[in-house]
Amino acid sequence: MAVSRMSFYSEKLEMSTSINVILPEHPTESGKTLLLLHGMGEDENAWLNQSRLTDYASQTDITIIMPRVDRSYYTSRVGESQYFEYISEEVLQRCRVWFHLSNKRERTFIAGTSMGGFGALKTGLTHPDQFQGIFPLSAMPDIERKWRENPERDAWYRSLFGSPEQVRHSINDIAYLITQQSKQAPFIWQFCGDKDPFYDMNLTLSDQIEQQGLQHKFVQAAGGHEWRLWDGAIQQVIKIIDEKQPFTIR
Amino acid sequence: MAHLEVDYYSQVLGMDRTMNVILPELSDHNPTWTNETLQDIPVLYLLNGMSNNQTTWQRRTDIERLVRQTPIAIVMPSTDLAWYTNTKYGLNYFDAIAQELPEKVASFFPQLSTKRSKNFVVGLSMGGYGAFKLALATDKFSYAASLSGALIGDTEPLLDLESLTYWQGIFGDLDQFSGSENDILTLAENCQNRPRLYDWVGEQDEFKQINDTAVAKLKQLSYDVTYETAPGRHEWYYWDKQIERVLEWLPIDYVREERLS
Repeated sequence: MAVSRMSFYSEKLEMSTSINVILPEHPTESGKTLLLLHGMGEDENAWLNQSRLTDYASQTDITIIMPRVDRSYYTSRVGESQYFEYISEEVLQRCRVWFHLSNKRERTFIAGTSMGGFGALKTGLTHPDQFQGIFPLSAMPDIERKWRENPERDAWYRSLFGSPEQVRHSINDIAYLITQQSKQAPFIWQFCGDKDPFYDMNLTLSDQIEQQGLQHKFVQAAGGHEWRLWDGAIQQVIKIIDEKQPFTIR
Repeated sequence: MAHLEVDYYSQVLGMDRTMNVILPELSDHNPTWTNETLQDIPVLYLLNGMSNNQTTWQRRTDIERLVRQTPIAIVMPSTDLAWYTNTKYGLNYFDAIAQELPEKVASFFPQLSTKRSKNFVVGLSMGGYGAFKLALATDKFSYAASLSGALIGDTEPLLDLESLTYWQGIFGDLDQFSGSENDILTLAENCQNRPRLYDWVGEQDEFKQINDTAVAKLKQLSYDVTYETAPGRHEWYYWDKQIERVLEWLPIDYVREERLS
């Protein structure tokens, strides 16, 4: 297993950016790929520094790609860096040239914490043909509600999303994206701590996914919005992707 | 160029190592490149000297900018002070760098060529010795260049650099050096599939004499060796210039940047 820290010029971001990649000992096109996203205030190093991911990933054939999106909410703004296209298109396209990666849906997964859980849901549900599974970990899945609850974020959210009305029924509206899914949608393995400030939103999200009849599991743990929980969660995610731990639905 | 720092585990050495890698990338600077054309890319292994590590070539020279418009990958391994040798202290650096490293590189990076005709090795000082050694002792490299290389035939100059204990730890009994697997002139005599060689040394460099001697021997063995010298010492100013000369010498489509002044 190897850890590659990479910097390069992104055409979608129109600037240099960095990606960390965990490579299996013998990478092949038959291995799995996990696109792993960070939360607010973090960067491409968060997972390597805050969890024991490197250890969990050793002895597997999973390539783990950790990009950075700064404070973008995995969202593109007119005339600025196209973070959503970067995450949902360019990252995998480029990494499939640089490394031995599968281009098969059944071997490609996406996960993320908090803002990255939003990014994972947004990306996976916008490109359901690209991902076999989505792992939102303590995700912040409801921009409109967050906007109402945090009025001090109004100027910032306006710059990202325009207005609450513009969020509704857009790719930033996770509840709406769920209603657009068919039975072939990626499975959703949802995780949240019971003391997490987003716990209530995650209960709602769980209901929405169930109502749509998607493959889904909601795993809860005792704790808040913290790396201690995510360290345990990512260990389970790796086992599921590695097929050491069977994924059972319902 | 895409720049990578790769931490990997060396089974041969039994420890984590780091290599730095430069890969060509699609950008406005190279509008004609596509992912399809960036296949089977030539690979240049760039070896450091004593007191350096895998970062020094990029910090001390313009290598990354120079290859910006040339489809070539640069691999800079960490080599420690081991003289690219299976040392007497039990760490097999030669095997790790000459055998295992290219296997890792091929395994990690599908774009890079594994053909001998597209694999080259270049180094400075200790790394110049390493470059010739790797090319002469394996059948993996078609071109090798040494800049201010420690192209030692006899071991006497070594004692000016480090203590006898140090050298014995690496090479063993120095009386047995000549004719051994660490003697590049012996390797040159025994090499079946000969690489093309390039050698440069500064006229004021303490290694000037040993380079004269080594090149004379290589020519005597009818090697295709290009030997160039110029006023200069054992310094990065010269190696920065010479690395571009090496890029021009290699069988690649080196595209020199525009220089209006």
